[in-house]
Amino acid sequence: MKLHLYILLCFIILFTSCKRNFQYSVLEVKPIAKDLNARAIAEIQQRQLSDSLHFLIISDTQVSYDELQDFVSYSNSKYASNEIDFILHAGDITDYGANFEYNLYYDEVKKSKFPIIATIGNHDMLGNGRTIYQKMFGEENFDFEVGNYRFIGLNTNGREVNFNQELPNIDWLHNQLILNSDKNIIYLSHVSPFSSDFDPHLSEIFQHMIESTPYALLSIHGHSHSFSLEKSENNNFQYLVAPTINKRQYVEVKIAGDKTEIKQKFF
Amino acid sequence: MRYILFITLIFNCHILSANNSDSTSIWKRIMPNSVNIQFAGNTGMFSAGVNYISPNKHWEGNFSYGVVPQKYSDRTIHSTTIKARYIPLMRTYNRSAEVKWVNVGMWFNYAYGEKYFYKLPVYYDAGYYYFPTAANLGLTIGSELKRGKWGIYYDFGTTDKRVINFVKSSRAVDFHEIWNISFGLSYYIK
Repeated sequence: MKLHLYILLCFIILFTSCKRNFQYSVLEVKPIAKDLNARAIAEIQQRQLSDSLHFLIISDTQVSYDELQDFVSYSNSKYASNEIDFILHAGDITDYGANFEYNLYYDEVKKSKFPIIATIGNHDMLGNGRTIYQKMFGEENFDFEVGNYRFIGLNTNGREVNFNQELPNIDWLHNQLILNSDKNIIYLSHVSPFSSDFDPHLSEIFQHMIESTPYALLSIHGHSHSFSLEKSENNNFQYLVAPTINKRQYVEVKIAGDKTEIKQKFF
Repeated sequence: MRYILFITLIFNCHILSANNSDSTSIWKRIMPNSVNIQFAGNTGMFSAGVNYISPNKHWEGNFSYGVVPQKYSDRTIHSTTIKARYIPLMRTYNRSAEVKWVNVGMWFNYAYGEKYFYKLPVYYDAGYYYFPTAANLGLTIGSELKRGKWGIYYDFGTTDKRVINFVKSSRAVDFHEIWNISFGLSYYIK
């Protein structure tokens, strides 16, 4: 009798004690959310947007869930719903590319009142991270339009594939850029072409392609963990590197026409 | 490595089925005390293993092979796990029932596959990543009920990577978030 009670008690404890009861492997692929980028883009496009854009950028949130939680509640209270159009994440959602880390990220960002679009970072490609990213967020290379602006997201983590000239996908980018469009272009990718982790065979052509396209304004990156903003040597095109959220920093961007106003912010 | 385990398991089955009268045979001596199958616990969706028990019954060593089917991974994950358990609290209630109230375990899991590394591939500088993706360390705490030749057990477990995430973000990550459950069935051979 005592043993039966013991077994019953064990099962009650078992199924009430853990938040996510069963984990098969640190390398498993079973994210708790799907198609987050597509859902965020749909939400952005439903909003009444003016001619200008106002958005925030966070980056490298891996192992910084406290800071991410603080940022979400800070931005929720500081900005009115119609004040910020969306938030961009410049990559490195996870440290080990592990399923549980993607889930921990989702636990925090689902509390944000702003749609969040995330690009893939080098850490997010470890283990089975690339598959998890594709399930949880969508395609690694994506584009979407908001008002008069066009965003192009890319996987630029060349070192992760031993600089095999496949990342970034130049052909895909080329096909995007030949589409005739009079919209201002903003790029989003984790590793900047100036980083030693960008494929050295492709950095020159990549820079040339993104800078020389008509109406191209800005390329947003993460990875180096520190804020920087540089102008192209050839024109007014700008390269922005967003700081890690671990430093309790983010970037606020306002764009009107082709005029950009970029501020490093602290919280 | 996993083929060696398969062969070991096959030999063990062979020993069980063969009516071997020679009790001093080498097979009898290397035969594990129990075999087990387990669900979840970061060592595979399902894992099967052999278990050795020390003469004083307080220590156990387990070697297991686990799979995560393709449905929950990119490609099927094959891994092997070595686990040591210490059982400080154990009681026998009658001749056939025994409860290991507390057993504390530590395991090392290695996943096979080109996508996972133990040593950093050459295209990274030294120290680029401070952790291997193929290897994981885990801690477990659980209990086991043994009746006759059969035992059922559960473990609460966590891993090194989960602990690091918890330590670095202890406000946002709940303590109970880092723990997960496994349970299993043992069959005692000797």
